Amino acid sequence: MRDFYRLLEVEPTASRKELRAALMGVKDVSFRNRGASILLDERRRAVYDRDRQVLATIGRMRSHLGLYLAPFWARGDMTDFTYTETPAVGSPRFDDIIVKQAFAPAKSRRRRHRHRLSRNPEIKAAIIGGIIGLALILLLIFLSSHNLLSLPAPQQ
Amino acid sequence: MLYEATTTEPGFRELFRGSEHRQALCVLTIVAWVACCDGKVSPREQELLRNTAEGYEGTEREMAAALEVAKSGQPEQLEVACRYLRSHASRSSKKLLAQLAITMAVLDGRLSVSENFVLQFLADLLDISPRAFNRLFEKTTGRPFPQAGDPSSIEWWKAREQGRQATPPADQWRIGSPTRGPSDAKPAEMDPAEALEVLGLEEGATLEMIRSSYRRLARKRHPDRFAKLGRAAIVTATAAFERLRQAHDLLISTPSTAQAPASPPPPVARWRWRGSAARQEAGAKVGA
Repeated sequence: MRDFYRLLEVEPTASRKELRAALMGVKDVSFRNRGASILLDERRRAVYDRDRQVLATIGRMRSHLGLYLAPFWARGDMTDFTYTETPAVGSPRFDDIIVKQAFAPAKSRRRRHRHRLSRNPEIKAAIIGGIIGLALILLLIFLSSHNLLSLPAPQQ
Repeated sequence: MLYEATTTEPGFRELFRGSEHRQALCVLTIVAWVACCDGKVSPREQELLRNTAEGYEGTEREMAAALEVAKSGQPEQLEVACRYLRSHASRSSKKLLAQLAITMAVLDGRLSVSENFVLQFLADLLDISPRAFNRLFEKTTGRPFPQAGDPSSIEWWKAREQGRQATPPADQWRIGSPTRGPSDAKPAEMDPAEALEVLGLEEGATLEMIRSSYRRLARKRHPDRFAKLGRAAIVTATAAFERLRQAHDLLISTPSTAQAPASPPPPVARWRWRGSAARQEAGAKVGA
């Protein structure tokens, strides 16, 4: 879907005259006809405005939440409704973003159940150390029982 | 600049922070937004919202603020609810919310362009892949998730205006179609065409199909499944479920209008071992 107001650089509340003037400036004839057939007809424009409003809201939310690369959005050509410019310095939105980025927690606050071993690394280290120690002892016993450590008796 | 953000009213955000039922509040906001996004809240949706409001456990101020936010559709305030749900809702809650939103969207029997885009946004917000969402939509409504229309294209408008002049067939799944004037005037009644749409069937459905589709949809839309989202969600689901039940009752009771005449069941090539071939042939001869 195309956002005519953004492409024509006109306010959504523009009057018919302004729209007509903006459309006259468009060089692409097919696009001009398309815009004219929808924007200059009152009933069509009302419906189009409503849907465009919802899409603009969605586009803005997507850009704030980082969802403008999400699968459903990437399907259609939604570049008209993707707003990725940073807001002006000093606007309330700008401060909001800067503060949020500076103090945002790295991970989400959702509690994830982690295994007891990963929560207590000391226990993990102790268990691994114990296993290695046991393995070494067993190896020693095994080797000594086969007399590999001692020299073979000389054949007389 | 054209699209500069308006100054955020602290009202909803503060109420949200101070609320004890945050998830329920967010769910209420989102569901109300789905209802209001096509610009016109049909009487059924109004009734549903009223019921939902009664079921909300928090304060009335929060509820009023949530409904106000949903009606105005301002992104900064809706974003509060969206952000919270994205990071704090469990996976099953997210799926339930998606299902609730779908049910709400198709409550008036059609999926408008705005509703379609809102559902897509919710799917991305709640981390539901397109394939999973299509499956969820089909299970909840009995129809595949349609491609959104494009009100900025001339072909869409031509199709819509032609459809309005001709009598639209009852079983067409209307995407972005104009509001039905006369039917909006009577909120409680339902005609067989609408009932068929609610059940996701086409004209000429047999009794068996009606029953099986009702059972299938009722299992998915039963209000008790939504207990996790809070009481307001249960109330919403109850009202939607009521509508499903009404549709089913209507179709069961009216014998001739919507249903096909009772015919012998068609010969189904059911796999039966031992002597099945002969039985199949006999059945085919009888049925044809």
